[in-house]
Amino acid sequence: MNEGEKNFYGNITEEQKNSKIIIPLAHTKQGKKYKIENINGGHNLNLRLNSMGIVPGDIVKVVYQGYGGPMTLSVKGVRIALGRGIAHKIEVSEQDQ
Amino acid sequence: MRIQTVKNEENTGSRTYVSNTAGEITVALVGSPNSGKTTIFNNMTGARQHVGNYPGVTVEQKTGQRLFRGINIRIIDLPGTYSLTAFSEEEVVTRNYLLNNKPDVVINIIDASNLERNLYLTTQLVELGCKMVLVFNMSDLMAKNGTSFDMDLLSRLLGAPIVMSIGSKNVGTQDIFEKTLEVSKSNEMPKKVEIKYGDEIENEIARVLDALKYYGKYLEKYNKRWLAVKILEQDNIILKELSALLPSAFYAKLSAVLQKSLNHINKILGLAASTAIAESRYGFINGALKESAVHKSIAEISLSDRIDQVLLNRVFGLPIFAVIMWAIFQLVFKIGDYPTRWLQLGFDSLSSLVSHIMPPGLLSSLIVDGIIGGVGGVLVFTPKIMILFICIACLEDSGYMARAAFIMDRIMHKIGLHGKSFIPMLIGFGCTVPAYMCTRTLENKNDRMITMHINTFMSCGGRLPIYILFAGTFFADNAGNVIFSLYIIGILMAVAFARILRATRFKGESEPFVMELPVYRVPTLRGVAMHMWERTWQYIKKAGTVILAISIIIWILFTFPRVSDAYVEDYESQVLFLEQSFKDGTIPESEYNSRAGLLKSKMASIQLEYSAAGKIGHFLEPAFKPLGFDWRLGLAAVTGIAGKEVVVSTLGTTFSLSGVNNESQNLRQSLKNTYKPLTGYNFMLFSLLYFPCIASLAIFKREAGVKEMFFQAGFTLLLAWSVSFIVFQIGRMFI
Repeated sequence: MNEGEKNFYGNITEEQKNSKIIIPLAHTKQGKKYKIENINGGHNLNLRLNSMGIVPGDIVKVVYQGYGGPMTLSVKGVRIALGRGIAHKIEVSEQDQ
Repeated sequence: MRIQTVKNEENTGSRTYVSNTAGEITVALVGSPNSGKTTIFNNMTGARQHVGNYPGVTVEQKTGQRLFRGINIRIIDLPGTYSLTAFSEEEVVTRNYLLNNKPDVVINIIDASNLERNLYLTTQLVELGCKMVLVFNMSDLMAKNGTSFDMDLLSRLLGAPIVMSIGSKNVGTQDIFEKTLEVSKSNEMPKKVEIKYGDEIENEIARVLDALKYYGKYLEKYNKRWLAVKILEQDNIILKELSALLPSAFYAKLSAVLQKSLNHINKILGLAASTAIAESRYGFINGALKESAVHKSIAEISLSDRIDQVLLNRVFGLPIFAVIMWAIFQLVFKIGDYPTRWLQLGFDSLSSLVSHIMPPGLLSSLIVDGIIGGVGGVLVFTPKIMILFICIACLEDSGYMARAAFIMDRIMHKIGLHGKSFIPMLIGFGCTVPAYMCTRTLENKNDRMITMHINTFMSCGGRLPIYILFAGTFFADNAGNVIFSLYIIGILMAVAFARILRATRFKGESEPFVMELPVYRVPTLRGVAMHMWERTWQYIKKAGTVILAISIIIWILFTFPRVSDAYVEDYESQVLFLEQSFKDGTIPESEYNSRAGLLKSKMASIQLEYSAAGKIGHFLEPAFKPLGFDWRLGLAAVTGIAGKEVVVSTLGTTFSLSGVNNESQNLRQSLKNTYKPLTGYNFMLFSLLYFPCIASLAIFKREAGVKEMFFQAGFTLLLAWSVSFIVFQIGRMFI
């Protein structure tokens, strides 16, 4: 996403208007829904998360936010526990509830 | 048996099917963890396999048989896996089986209440080109959620027949067999369903397939399209296999093609190829589900979530877990004490009955001292072991076990491991052998090695009899607390050694923690009873076989060689003289009794010291003396290598033979008279710290290699000795 870039007329582009703030999953709020934007893990972590249902583009709900400890996500109807390390590597954007 | 090779036009790869006309087919059960696979396996085979509500129960492939319509169906239960990209040891087992053994039919067990995620594995099985039956398990939950699908359509979209089942109620088992036979009989390849990955990736798949064309002769066992997709996913194991199979020049060429394709995909899609592939698979699943959906509602598992709000709570989670563990101990020791006492009384009266019926002599001694003293001494603890196993089964079946891993993740993190390592440790409280097997769910080798090495400090069920005996003898008023303290010391030791091992032998980061938390279920009576009985039966069987054999050996060691005849004659003449004096009235009855008892016990102890066991014990004594153990405890500790329960049976035989007891005196009193409480506690500590048993070492060797096995044996023995030495030397200054 090209932040701060403006179009010819100096207006905010459509893309930028729709863009949301991207935060790591670790900093999300319990009970809210987020869209997975990116997984910054190594290749293996990516494959592992994919196979458990966590794929970019998915909407996930933070069922339990353990601030400092592990957290629980609701993904495709399943509850997945994630450790702190991973929660920092997954980038999400807030969704309209 | 007629072997038929079916060539598929689209695939250059060939799969060999064994036709069923000769009357035997092999089917493999495959499914995600928690899909209820093992329950279906039990229903199909009638076997009593262990099922738990947490990932990693099936750690080795299990085999069962069933005769259906005159055809012998061999059923193989494979470890649960989320995908055919294998990460952990047990997932590798599943994948290798499918690739190398090529079962006639793959039965894919699917949690029907969660199709989207469960069908991910199915998409890969479809690609592999297996003949498949899809079992939608827990279909009652799906119905309850109000979801329904046009199953005919869905089955066509997925390219395999669908059977509805409810594993817990044994519903649909017959249908599974029918469909399996039907599928195996059809000589056609499964209707080809191809998952399309979109133009960009399809182009690259074609490019990789093109490159593979030249190496066809090396790659016969693979389905080519599946292989191409796996290569694009950069599946580590596949790439490793290929680099071993292909001549290095070919492999280099293939790598170059792959790199170009990956770059290309990344440039166009802005995604890693593997992510794009995963997205397409989920896309395929979503498409199929949407197309066939009759009524769809979002699954409500809010009750489970609400329970989690409490049980996983940051503040209350850990205390609740601690209370649950404490309650289990109280249950085992308080409630379990009554039946244990009744059993003890039963064995005591059996002993006296035998010694009254049989003439005194070697045979009577073998039965009373060797067998009843040894095996009985172990069997009396069965009720307590049973209660412990019931509790563990409840934790597993309810789904709380996975939560325990979650709660412990924070703490486990501090010792350089993650929450998943905690499950084998909890199972280790029951028995170390399955705990070692359970470590296969850990993906990282170093994590796994550390978890295995420290698992020995989780007090297993075999150590429990030692604790119960010694704590009950020396600390009768608060035996429960004393035993609890040993469990805590074990955990602290595990923590310390996890850190030490991480800092020295197994350096590196631990694997990230990702784990499914299954929905809470009320454990069924049948399920809990099944697990409890399976494990308890192991315990009883061990008492009846290994411990019986060892008891007899120990009795022989204690009884032979006999003291010389001159001794015996001397003893008999002294007894005769005493009896004569009593009859003549020269000594009163009280004096006669005490002198006769003294004589008897003196003779017994001479015999004991003279025996092989006595000699071995005395030979070993210098090693145990600094710990405050006499030769009897030393000998018991050594025999404990065969299994910790044997410690109790050895002591039983020793004290029973030494004849100090005037009938009424049992093992507890003998111990109490012989040792101080400090020695008692120290002996429990020693038993806690050294490796559990010879069987556990054998499994250790199988899972981790000879070097690690010797390390495990060596460091635990050294630790046990050092700790007991320190405790005894410091302790005796104060007591």
